[in-house]
Amino acid sequence: MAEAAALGGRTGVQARTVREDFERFVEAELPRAHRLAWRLVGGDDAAADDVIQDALCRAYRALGTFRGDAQLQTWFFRIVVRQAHNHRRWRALRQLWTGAPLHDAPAPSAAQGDPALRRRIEEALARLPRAQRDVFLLVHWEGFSVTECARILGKADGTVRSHMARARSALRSALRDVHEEGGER
Amino acid sequence: MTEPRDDELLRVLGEHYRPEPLAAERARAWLRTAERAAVQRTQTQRRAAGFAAGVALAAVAAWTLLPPAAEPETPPVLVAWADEVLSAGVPAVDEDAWVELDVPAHYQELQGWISE
Repeated sequence: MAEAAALGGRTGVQARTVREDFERFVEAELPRAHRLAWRLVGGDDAAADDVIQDALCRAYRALGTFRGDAQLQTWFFRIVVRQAHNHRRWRALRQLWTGAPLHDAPAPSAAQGDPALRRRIEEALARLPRAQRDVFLLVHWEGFSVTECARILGKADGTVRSHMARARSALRSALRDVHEEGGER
Repeated sequence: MTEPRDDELLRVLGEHYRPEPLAAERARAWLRTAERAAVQRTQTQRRAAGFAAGVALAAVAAWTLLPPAAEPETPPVLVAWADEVLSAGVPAVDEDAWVELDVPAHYQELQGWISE
């Protein structure tokens, strides 16, 4: 009964269907959502975990208000992006207040590639305006189409294309030497 | 350097800038935790709403069912003083006459009575 109430007062069968759809979707998409969150919060493992767990809680609580006309994917990734922005905002505020470092990034494992290159990419991304970074990560690195990205961010397709072009150009300039030096740096 | 090659470079960079793969077990655990948290929150909200309704109902019942509080009694000294004023027939506009009646001496009692 509480479960049905959590799902917006739907009947037991409806609530179960919505929940099952959501769980199937999340099981398939969570690795991508986690990767996106990790990149949005600047490569901070703990922060990415927090963002995803908060996003899942919010999504579960809001399942009752989920409108069938919006795609589950758009809806869930919008929550993830919003949570990541909130996290960054709070982190910046905390840093301003306490003077603590932005995050204590753990040493990357071997599976995460060259640490120096990783740091350079992180810095290049951090220099991008937020809108450009969001678009770049969603379209270029997570494989969303321009239209899907526009729906997730609540922007027009043309705006997304424009942000994407600017972000690509900025990153190309910042990281051109990586390619010129043979992809090592 | 052509643009598609640049874009390929950016794509490859994405491979260097990624977290450790998320284990399926971990993902499922998060999902279970989030589900429990959502249900618990709903139950808590329902309990809180029930409690608030109960309190409101009790307040209404108390307001309507309990007898009204008794009027505070006027201190005898003030009653005597009021009798004195009335019997003297002092006009309200005659300030000197009011001073004669020693209003300051009764001020404390008057204040106390009003605040009750």
